[in-house]
Amino acid sequence: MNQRDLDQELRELGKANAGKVPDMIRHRQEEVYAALEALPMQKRSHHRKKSVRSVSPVYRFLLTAAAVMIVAIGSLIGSAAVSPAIAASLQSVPLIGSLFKLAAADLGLQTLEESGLADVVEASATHDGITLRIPELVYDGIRLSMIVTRDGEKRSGGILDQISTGNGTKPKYPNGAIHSFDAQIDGRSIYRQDIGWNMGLKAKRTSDPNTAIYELTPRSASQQFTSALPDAFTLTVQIGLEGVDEPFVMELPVRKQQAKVMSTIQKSREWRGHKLTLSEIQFTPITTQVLLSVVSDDQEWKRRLWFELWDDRGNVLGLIGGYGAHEIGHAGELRYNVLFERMAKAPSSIKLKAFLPEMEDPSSSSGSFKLNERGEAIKNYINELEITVPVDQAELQKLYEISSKTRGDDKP
Amino acid sequence: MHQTMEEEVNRAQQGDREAFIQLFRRLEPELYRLAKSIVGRDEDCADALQETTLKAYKGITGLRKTAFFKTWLIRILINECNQVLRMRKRTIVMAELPEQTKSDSKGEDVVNSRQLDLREAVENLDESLRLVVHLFYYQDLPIKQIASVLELSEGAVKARLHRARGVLAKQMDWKGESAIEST
Repeated sequence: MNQRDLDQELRELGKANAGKVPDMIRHRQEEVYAALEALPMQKRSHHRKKSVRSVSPVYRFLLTAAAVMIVAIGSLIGSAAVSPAIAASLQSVPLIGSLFKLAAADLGLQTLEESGLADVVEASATHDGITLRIPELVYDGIRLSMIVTRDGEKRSGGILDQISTGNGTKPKYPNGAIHSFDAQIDGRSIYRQDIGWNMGLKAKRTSDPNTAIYELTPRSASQQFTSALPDAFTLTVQIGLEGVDEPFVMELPVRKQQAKVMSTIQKSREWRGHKLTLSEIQFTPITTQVLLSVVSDDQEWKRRLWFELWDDRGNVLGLIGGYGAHEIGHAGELRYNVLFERMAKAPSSIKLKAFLPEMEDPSSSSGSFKLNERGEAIKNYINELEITVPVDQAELQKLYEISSKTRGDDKP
Repeated sequence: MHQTMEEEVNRAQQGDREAFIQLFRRLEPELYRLAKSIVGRDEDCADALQETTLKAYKGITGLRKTAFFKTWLIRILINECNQVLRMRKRTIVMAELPEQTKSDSKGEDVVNSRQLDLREAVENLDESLRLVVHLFYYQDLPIKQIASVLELSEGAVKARLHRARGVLAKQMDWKGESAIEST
């Protein structure tokens, strides 16, 4: 092949590829831009011209809705994946009862097995000999978790498998693996940039390679937005499987489990000019949601600070996920909505602990955590910022013992 | 560099946040494409872009020559991408949502099959070669600036480009031949 032709073609390819940024990334970038508002910008010149702000209505909406900074949260979460050997041995075990018991690292979802709180929806779609099913889901007003199972031919690996082709090349999906997942609530997208609900979507592996748990959580850190969804709605999902052209479309009726115990707190601790405020804890039979905020002039410090929830017996609650946001009108305040598992037993009090994880590169607020010899992140707890709050133990125990019977359901 | 881009960089350096955001929005497609070629996953591209935005925002006042803004930005992005790759190796991350491929396929109908073959060939290059091809052909950076971004000599950049062209030409010829054979 002629080199000049190749040069020409490569340049044309560069032009042809330009201009396409996936919605997910555009959405994230808009959030980052909005968050810049809360970050100080150094001025170089003393003769700064006042900038004329001509902000489009859409952008204004994004700016005022919530200026958001996403903080690296996923990397502290332990792996929910099970080794392939265990997974293979489990594959042949027939499953009876709720498939949520496969959620190896989520006490809240595991207890759905005995409580019967999960809604049996039994939705399914079949294409090319493969059937995808969503047999059960649960929505507790905080997170919506649904089981997705796969059955049929063309399966060469787990439902969430990706084939990494090495550093820097795109992952590929084996035949039968999920490569895309879209969802709408009452016909409106779950993503904010599509004027949607502003939810986050996450896929979790289970101990069964043919079963995954998909979870929707609110991407908001304000009280008024965390439960913006209606009490009952229709969730439409479109799932793309590698090797199957047609998307698997399912419509799912969802209703909110109303049971919850709320504690509005507004308790603050200050240390060296940094302030931590715990404003609300909400318990449901499957989730513990904490709303808190951090105020500090030190942006790096503020972004590195992270949290744990401990019960009165010294057990640390498992982290499900979290969302952090700088909100307009609250300069310097970083608000969080952090989700933890439920506890096994209701405690008399609960403790919020703040810590700074040690970074491998000490000058960076992002990147790898420094690990100890056991492979755990090294946490420097700040005892001065610890907040303990009493819990209505009897009320919470009642909530934890709730089941479909006490809810008056007619499910078997 | 484009005159208006330089003006925007100047305005951003004087504390005009809107100018910074406009500038960044316009460069997003190029930055995304570069990040994608290094880290692969969209989720990781988003992280690398986010960190690059924040670092550029913090550091733009310290940038001496506005004409080198893009080179400077690309250097930050490559560092962030490498950081993401290091982190990926070290941390145990929960199973993530597979990438949305829907948006990837938008508008691709204008790309002919030969372009698709060539694109695939580029993406299958060794990382060291692929990055040079991206910077030279897609980002339009001169050899001197690529050398500066990658901390290589200009000779090394030229050698990599030469090797990359060789691999690509061979692959494309092979594809062409096999297409003829199969018809």
